Amino acid sequence: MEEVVRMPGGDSLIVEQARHGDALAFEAIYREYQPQIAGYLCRLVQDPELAADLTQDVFISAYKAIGRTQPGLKLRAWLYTIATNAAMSHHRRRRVVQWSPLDDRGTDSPTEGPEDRYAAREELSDALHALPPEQSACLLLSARDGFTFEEIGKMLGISEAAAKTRAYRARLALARALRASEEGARP
Amino acid sequence: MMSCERVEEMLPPYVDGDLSAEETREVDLHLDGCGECVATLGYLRRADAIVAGWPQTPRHMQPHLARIDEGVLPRIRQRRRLFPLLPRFNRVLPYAGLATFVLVLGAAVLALSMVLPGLPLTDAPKSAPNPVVSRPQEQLRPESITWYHDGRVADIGKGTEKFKNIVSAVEQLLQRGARDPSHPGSALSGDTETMKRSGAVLELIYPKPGVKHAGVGPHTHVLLRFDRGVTVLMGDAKYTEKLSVPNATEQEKRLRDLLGLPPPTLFAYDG
Ligand SMILES: [Zn+2]
Repeated sequence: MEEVVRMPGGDSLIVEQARHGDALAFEAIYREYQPQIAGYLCRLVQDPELAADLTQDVFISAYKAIGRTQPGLKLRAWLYTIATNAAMSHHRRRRVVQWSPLDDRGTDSPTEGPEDRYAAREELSDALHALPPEQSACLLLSARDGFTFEEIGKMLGISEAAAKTRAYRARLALARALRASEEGARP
Repeated sequence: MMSCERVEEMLPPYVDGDLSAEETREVDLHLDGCGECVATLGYLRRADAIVAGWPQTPRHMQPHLARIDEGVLPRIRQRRRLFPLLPRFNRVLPYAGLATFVLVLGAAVLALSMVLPGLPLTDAPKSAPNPVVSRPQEQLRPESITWYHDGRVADIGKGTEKFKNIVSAVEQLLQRGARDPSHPGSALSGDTETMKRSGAVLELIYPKPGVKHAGVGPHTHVLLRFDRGVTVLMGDAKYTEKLSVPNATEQEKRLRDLLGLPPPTLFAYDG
């Protein structure tokens, strides 16, 4: 997994400056982490426009809160924690209702072609989105964003073992989805 | 011999080398005699490879990154200009000054929000108290209204005239509704995403279960679908119910006007 922190001298100095209210330092942090936080959120919520809104909220919240953090802040894990909470809270707020389909008129056939905004999706992204967000978050944080399960456990307030189990379940679900899509496509 | 189900669950840690020697032997033994689980293992490795190959930022996210800059950078820069002394103050008194710092920060946020009324400073999602909830004697108001039409999505700005007018029209419309006996409620896991993408759908979300009409509810979500008439669904995480509303009501016409939706052409309103 790539090491993403490339700020000169590592991040500790710049984080300390940002913690003490240096807006320029925070801007450097924002520029460094914005693409990966946006990418993480985009995969979690599967909607680039919503991901953009949430990313804004994440960095504005972080900017307001960074002065209240402890010295030695683990910046990257902290930003991903804020991002995960934002996605989960959105998920709770907006996606709690799985409406039952209307059966009276057949105008909303699900066999219609995909919308433009959902075009160019990555392989397996639908299967990822179908998972409970606690599972997809654990999978992304470990397999995509390079956090250890110990770190993920701390970020989500669960045990290391629980974080691992969630990621395992998510991987198995993706494997099953891959199999279903290929075997379903077979003549 | 272990069941396939049990072996499947052990495959991810098996791939990671996280099983004990004993468990690894058992999985190996099972795989020797089970083509199904060998196939699953193959799909697992391929799924892992696909996930590992995802770029840091999905391609379809790229066009949206600039918009994030527009939302974030001005707020950082404006505060820097307005409150240049704040950082230094905090640096001098890192501990004793903390409470004051928070107070000053609060004042800064307040001042900023007054200076920049068009740019409300959003808080962390969980911290925003809903002023509506704290006034129980009032009719509960939706926390958001979203309008899905022809594949486009629009949030109706809270606090706008349009928002208020829609709320009042919807409430009056609901009062005319009756529980649809042919749809006695269900816990189905169907989805309205397709409906939202292709049709004309208005979704109101309430901060707590508060919508109750004709013995339906209380629920947090109200969804109105417009086609030749209007269909109302009310629901929450466990339950969705349908409210039938007679066509040709004044409220439906008013709602269509507010939303810029023409009256249906194929069927007469009073049909
Ligand atoms: Zn087997």
